[in-house]
Amino acid sequence: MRRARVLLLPLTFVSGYACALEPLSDSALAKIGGRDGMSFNLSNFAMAGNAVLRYHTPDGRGSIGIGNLSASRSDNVDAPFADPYRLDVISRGPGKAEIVNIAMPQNVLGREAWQFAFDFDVADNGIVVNGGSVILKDLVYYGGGLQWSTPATGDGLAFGLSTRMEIGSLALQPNGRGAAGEAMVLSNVRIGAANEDGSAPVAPWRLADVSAQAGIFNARTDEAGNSRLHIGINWPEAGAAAAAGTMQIGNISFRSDAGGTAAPNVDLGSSRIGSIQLQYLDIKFRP
Amino acid sequence: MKKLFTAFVLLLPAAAVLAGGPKPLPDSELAAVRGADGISFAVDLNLNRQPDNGLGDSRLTIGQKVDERMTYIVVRNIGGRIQMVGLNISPQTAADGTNYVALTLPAYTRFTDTGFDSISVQADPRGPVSGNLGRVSINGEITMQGQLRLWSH
Repeated sequence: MRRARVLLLPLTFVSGYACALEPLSDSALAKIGGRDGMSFNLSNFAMAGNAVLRYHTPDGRGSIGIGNLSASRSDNVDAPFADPYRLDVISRGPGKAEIVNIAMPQNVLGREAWQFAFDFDVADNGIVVNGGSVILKDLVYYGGGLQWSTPATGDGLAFGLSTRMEIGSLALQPNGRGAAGEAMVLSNVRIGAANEDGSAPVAPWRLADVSAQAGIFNARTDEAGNSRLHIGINWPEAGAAAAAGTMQIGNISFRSDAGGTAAPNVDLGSSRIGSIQLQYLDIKFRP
Repeated sequence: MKKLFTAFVLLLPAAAVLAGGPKPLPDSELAAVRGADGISFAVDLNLNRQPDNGLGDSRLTIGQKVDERMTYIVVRNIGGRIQMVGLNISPQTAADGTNYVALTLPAYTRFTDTGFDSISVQADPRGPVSGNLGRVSINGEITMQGQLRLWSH
């Protein structure tokens, strides 16, 4: 009996701690906001390094490598949280699969600009040929985004893609990124939805859309038994038309120091594709 | 029995002090508490690397049925070594009140034979690799700065 009393004493201390849980009041509960998506963005991003991504042919003889990638992105420092990338799951109504949607920032002021540079090479049977450097300056995306869902028939991945971008300059420098004297340069490139009057795009070009003209990625076997990796874009749904896009290049030039002052540069001027419609695409990979 | 009881009674005052409940921490002591920002990670991942540098047979397969015919994407021997230093996760509050998770990108990453041995598309996921489309590898180092910030909306 005495032992029982001894055991009771510590129990009173335990019960003192055990009453810590309290019911949440209605007012506190009301402050919890239900959220249905995720926003994200980069801040002060930059990368560099000597890493090489290399594709080797199945026989192991040849390869293509992309390496020494440098990349950075500037931020909209005035409002870093107002215009992010947004990931949402969008319902399409009864009987249809939901869509995972990633919307890019609207980036109206164009402050979020990317810079890229990388080197590439081609190797065959032990001989490596350096192809040069690709330098992309001021790549700016304005809106657009990606979609994922399931195809209307069969398995696989249905996707949507839309984009509006401006590229300050895209340079291919065969002697490396330090040798800007020899280069092919495309500058002031604009890609986006076509306008009737052929003016510069102001909206994203919808290349594929899960609801209206789905892109498709899957593995399929044809009637003859050939298995293929397949990527494509379906015909537009009935009543829908393929979206029209435009590509406008401000200037195309070939630069060279080697020719001296006589005619060092070839300036091809500007180029414009007023309206492009991608009605159907079907790519199958085979070894 | 009596001895045990006596010993327990002697311990009681000590227990009572401990059980006296939380006490407010004076500001001076509170100021000395050092808050650390989030959790840092260092990663050394070795995936599917054979001790004798031999070839294993690890397969990632994705099966898809199209037109009533089943086809598999087979990625063989995904692996290699990835070393990362300077990855950090921390909760933050922005000046405008946004609560977000800041993922500090790894300051240093090293890839050693990271990639896969073959990618193929075939009807039998366990059969010999047929229709190999090639191999992909990453080797070398990457340094990164900046954050990936995530928040709900």
